[in-house]
Amino acid sequence: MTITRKEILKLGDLAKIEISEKDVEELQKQLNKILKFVDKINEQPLINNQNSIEVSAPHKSRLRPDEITENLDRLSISKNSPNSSESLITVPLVIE
Amino acid sequence: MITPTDSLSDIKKGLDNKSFSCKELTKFFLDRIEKANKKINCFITVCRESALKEAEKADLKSNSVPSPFAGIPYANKDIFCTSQIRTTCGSKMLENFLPLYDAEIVRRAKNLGLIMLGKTNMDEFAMGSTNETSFFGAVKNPWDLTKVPGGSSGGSAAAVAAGLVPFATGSDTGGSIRQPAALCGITGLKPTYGRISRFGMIAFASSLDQAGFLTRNVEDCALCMEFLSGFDPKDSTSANIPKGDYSSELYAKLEGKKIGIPKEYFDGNLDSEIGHCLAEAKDIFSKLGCVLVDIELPNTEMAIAAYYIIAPAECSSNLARFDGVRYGFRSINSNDIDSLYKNTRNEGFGTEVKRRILIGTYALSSGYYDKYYEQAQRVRSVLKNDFNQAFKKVDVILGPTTPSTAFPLNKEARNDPTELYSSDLYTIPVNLAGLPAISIPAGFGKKELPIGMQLIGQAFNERVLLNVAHQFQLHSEWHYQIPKFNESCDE
Repeated sequence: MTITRKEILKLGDLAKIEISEKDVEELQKQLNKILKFVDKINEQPLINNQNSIEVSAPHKSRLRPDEITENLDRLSISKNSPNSSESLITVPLVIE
Repeated sequence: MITPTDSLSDIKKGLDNKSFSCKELTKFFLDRIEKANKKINCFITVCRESALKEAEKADLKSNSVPSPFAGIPYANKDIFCTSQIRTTCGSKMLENFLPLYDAEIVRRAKNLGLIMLGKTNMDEFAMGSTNETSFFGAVKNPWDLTKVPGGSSGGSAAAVAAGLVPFATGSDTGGSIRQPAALCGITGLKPTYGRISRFGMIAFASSLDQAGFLTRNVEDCALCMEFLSGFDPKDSTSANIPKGDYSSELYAKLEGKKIGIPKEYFDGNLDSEIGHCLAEAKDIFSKLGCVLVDIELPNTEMAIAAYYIIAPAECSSNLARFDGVRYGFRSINSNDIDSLYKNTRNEGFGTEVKRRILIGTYALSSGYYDKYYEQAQRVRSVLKNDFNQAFKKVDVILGPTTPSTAFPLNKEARNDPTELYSSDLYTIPVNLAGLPAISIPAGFGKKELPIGMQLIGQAFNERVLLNVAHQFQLHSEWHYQIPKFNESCDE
């Protein structure tokens, strides 16, 4: 299994990471090396569909009660944005 | 008199006897950090003013605070959010990020009166095992400044090894506490998944991430566990399972304890000098009355491949939050919302992080999910079962922490991204199974570089793990060794 040039650009689109033309070739080479490495998991005959795919936490996760607890102040949160105006966050035009 | 390698109980004694004040103690470590950090780059942020202020306050109330930790300095890996103190996670993306709240482990430390000296350097978003992926530059190993300290908690490990802090926090997703602890000759504990709250710990791979400690010895680890671990309702993966009295159980005799020796951990991948040190360690355990039992962990090799699917898959999801909108870095080269996301993430993340996000996106994408992600989860359940079988026969498993001692710093020469994957061969299976494990010093290689021994315990049984590790330290002296570099911070 190898990743094509087209797929690299598609991955950049899905992951929202700009990939420049000059970086595509190097990325393609590196990601294919990683894929070759991880492909080992498909070679193991003992590991097949019969094995469970449970998440292996040693204990059960749980939900906390649905109660309002301490809240962060809205103005401070918006101040953390690289571009904000009072309690609003400024971004480029989203809808034309 | 304060010595840079004092254990927590030594420091506590000194404070109680008034041999030194908390301010003197804090200043002592801050001065050492100032000298050493230029050379080994283990701190991203040093909190000199706030630490001295806290120390003065601690001195004023020294008689009224019952906390065993009151007035003791420590450092946090820069993955833990600290309210209004810069938290970078080793990334340009968070270069100027000021969190609005403390991580739970930081909050607990504050309540106990611990004094935070600063935030330690780390691989970007904890992705790496050399500390070279940090946006703030690589950390150097105090044992040899041309070698890596390990990663991703390399800054914490180097700081403890160089006597700059008595202990530091870390996080371990595939070995990020144990591997740097081994390469820097200190003690590093990754507790059971769920044992310590991850609230406020910036997420990398949520089914694997676990907070823990890098300390001078096992006794200090036990103290950290006693006071900083435990259930937190704010973390849905936090386990509400009673803790033990870790410190008092350190002294239980080991007579009859069964120690598993997995043959897969002692094969051709392991440097012979590490094998030799572990043989001596096994002898010590035999003399202490332990029974060494040969066991098998037959799918160990598969663990790395499974990890390098699961961890990137989870990171691709977790790191989606860094989009330049609500906090962190934002690219100025954007005209619309899509290019804002894409340029921000391209400019804000380093090469390794982007590579992992892309591979994770691939493994989760339609058509490849079954072949990679599901299959990796199957491998994971097989590995977990291997450990379950082993623990029917033994109390603790012994093996190496790393296949080699610290290797040269040389980021530019690492063209193959998979080149370093095997350095986590012995630590990764533990994260996939969610188990606790500790790395403790077990000797030195020919180049006078430290060697770590890993002990793996049963889920939520850190008591036995710490007991076995402590008994080894009572009968060995490796954990007392300090790098020559430390003398340069004394002048």
